[in-house]
Amino acid sequence: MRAAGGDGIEALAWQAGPRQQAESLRMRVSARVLRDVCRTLRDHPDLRFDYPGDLCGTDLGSEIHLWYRLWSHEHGRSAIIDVILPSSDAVVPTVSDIWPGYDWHERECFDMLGVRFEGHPRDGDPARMRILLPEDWEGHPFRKDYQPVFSGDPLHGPQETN
Amino acid sequence: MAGSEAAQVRLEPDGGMTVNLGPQPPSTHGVLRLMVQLDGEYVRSCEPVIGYLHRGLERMFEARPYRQLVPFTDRLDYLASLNCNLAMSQAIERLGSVAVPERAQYIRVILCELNRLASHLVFFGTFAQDVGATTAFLYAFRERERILDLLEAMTGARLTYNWIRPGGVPADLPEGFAEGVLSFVRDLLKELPLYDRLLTNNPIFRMRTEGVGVISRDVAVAFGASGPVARGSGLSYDIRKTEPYEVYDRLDFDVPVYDEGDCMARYRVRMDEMCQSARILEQCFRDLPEGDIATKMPKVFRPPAGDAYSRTESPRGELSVYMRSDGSPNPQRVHVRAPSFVHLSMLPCLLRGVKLADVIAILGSLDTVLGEVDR
Amino acid sequence: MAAANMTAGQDRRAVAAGQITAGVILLAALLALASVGYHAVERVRDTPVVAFIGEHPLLNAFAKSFIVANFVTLHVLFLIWWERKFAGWMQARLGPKHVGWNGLAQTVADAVKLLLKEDIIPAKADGRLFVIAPFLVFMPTLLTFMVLPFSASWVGYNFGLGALFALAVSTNVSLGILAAGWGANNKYSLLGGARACAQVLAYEVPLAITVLAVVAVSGTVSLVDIGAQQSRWWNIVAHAPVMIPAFVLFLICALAELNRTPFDLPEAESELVSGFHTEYSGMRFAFFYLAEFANNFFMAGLAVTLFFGGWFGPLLPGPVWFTIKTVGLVTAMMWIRWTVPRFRVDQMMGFCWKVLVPASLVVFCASALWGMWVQR
Repeated sequence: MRAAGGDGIEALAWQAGPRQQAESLRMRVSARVLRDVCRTLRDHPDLRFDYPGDLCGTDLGSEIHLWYRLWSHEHGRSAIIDVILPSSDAVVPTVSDIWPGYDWHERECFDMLGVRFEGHPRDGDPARMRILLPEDWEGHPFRKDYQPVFSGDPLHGPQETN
Repeated sequence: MAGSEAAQVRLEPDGGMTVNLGPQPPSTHGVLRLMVQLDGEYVRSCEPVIGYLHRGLERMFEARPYRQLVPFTDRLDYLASLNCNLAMSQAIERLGSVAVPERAQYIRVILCELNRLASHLVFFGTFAQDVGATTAFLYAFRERERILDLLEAMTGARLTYNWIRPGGVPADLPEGFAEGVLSFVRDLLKELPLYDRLLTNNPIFRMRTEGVGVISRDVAVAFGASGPVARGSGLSYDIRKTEPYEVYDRLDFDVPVYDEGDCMARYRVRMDEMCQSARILEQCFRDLPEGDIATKMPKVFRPPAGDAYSRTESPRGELSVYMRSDGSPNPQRVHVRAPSFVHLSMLPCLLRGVKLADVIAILGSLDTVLGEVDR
Repeated sequence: MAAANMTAGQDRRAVAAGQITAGVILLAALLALASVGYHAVERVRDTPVVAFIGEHPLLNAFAKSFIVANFVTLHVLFLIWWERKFAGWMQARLGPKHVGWNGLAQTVADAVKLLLKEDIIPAKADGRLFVIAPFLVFMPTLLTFMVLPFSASWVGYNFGLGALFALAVSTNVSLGILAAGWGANNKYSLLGGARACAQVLAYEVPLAITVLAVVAVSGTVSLVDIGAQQSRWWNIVAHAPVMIPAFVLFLICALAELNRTPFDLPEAESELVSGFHTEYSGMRFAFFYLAEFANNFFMAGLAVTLFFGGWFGPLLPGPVWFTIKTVGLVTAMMWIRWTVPRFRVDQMMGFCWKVLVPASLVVFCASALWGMWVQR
């Protein structure tokens, strides 16, 4: 595992799950080695994290915290990857080609937090990358500094919102 | 009045046609829009467009204290809101290491399984409607009505229950609830073979569902399919078994798995699950212990900084909640992993080359609820 | 509580059953009234005024058209009510209940509502086609009723080639449907119209062959003569070995011709909204509805004439018997409609060309041989 990530892996530990749950592998990884780590996680016979569970981004102010969770059907345990990005330049390589299930999760993350997923099939085309919000939406509402702009009477719905 | 030279339905140069299925027609189960490229009756490609029901729930969670989060989850998967309540409550409990009394756990399981039954009955009805059979819908809703009556007697609501709360449940079972549920379960088990005779064994129904919308095991895994969709593709994956929560590890039930991966397999999984839910309900009432129904939660709940994750098996699949606390009374981030969202992302890959009528059948067999897709 | 629920369910079924009983009683009353009416009409027929109209070619044609048009329009009011009631009974619900006795006037109320609605023509529709399509659908239906024999004398026009005429005319419905689908300039309508056209034309083939099978057995193409031959034994009894399979084929093809479930692909609600009549509202929509139900009655009537002894039956006069049998067959079609799911378009076409056409050819050959054997 360490070999795949080299010095990109900042922390790595097995964690006991809450109550009856299986233990999970939790690691903090730099964006640089994310793809190598993910490929190892998916393909290594002792790991085999083949199920893309979840992706959640959190705006911590000056940095953005990405949280990937994987599950291994074969070994019945999960892995959690933490990636910390600077808010000003939130770019991370995509894993949607490793697990196609991350396609929409990454789009949602872009939509809400403005994280760029380098190499995503729709990367560089914000209108098509948007998923929940309208194509012409401006800004990323889950950023803590996001201010909704009302260009009209706020009582009259989202078409007045910008 | 326009003459015959008026602009006619626009065809693409190669004879294709783009049809917008939705966001309004009834068969897309909510406000989902499918941009379907058609070549005659065949689908060339399909692009789901979602977000018509987006209410920014995840952002709203961040602006409220922990104890006010649960009512919002009713609006996620509105067909199984108790299951959503449970996922959220569990996440809060794990974040603050709150223990839940055993009786409350049993009551939660009872509520969730009842809601699972109600949701699967809606699936049965709407799926039948999707392939053109109208009568099954009304039979399913007749049975569902009894569940709603029972849940109404318990919670006072018929759709948005808000009854599984952090720490336990707000009130004990009402009088006669157990008898009501058990008699309903008995009747339902008698009704299910009738449904098989009406629909499952109907040759036209089988023609419409067998071999249609096949999801192979590998595709199901790679996309992160869960719940009946995964189990219809030969993947024995049920959070209630793999990572048991509440008292599911003490209950005896099977996980129905079918290998075909087509609409029929997903349909059968859900039909079999109804029997299993009935088994679970009977066991719960048999084992229901006496005791408290809730752990007292402080008025202002401040969990320690950190994150917690709760995975539950909703009727649609793996519904999980990620919650992150910075020690303040409001959560820093709440993320809901909605199974329908994941299943919808499979659509472009699933629908290539099928016929228009199959689009609706496949969509129906995924049993998505747009409330949790758009959040 | 649950017990209360269960009895509520049973009550509902009991009430629905009660309503069906009420419907049957109503039907019986209607039949008695119809018998009385029949004799009254027969008496009126002999009056000099009517005799004069009968002899005058123009007045004769006008009077008959008037009667047929009114019958076609009015009997649908009853059929729609009956379908709703019957579907309600099948689906453990009540059906219409509030307008009139047991909701009997519900259809009238609906018709009035549709009449008063604004006639909307979409801006980008092909106006002329859009406007004319409902009539293109309705006219063939009206025409087919001209040759439908309610009894030996109660027939609009005793046409020697009645069976062929009926088939030929009823196919033209697809023209109207296609016009509606194309004229509305709506993609759902277009798909619905295309499906309907393909379906009606394809199923016309086995339908015609099955009718020919009856013709081969009867030795005549006139519907009146085919009916008259069955005064002792119905065709389906007298020639059971060939006529039972022929009837099954006829019923399947008729369902397809009528665009009814399991062949309701042209208006497949789940994928095409309403298919070819998506854009229609008000009276134009009502015409589609009218044509659908009238067609239903006609197809059932044709089946009764071909297989079920036409107007012959004990006690009641011929036209009454014919109506009873036809409504019974219409009810059977409703039963099928509310039970089964819908075919997919390729399955529907495959079923026609791979199963029905060969089967109908086999039945036709068998009927021809049977007819020769019987006549010898």
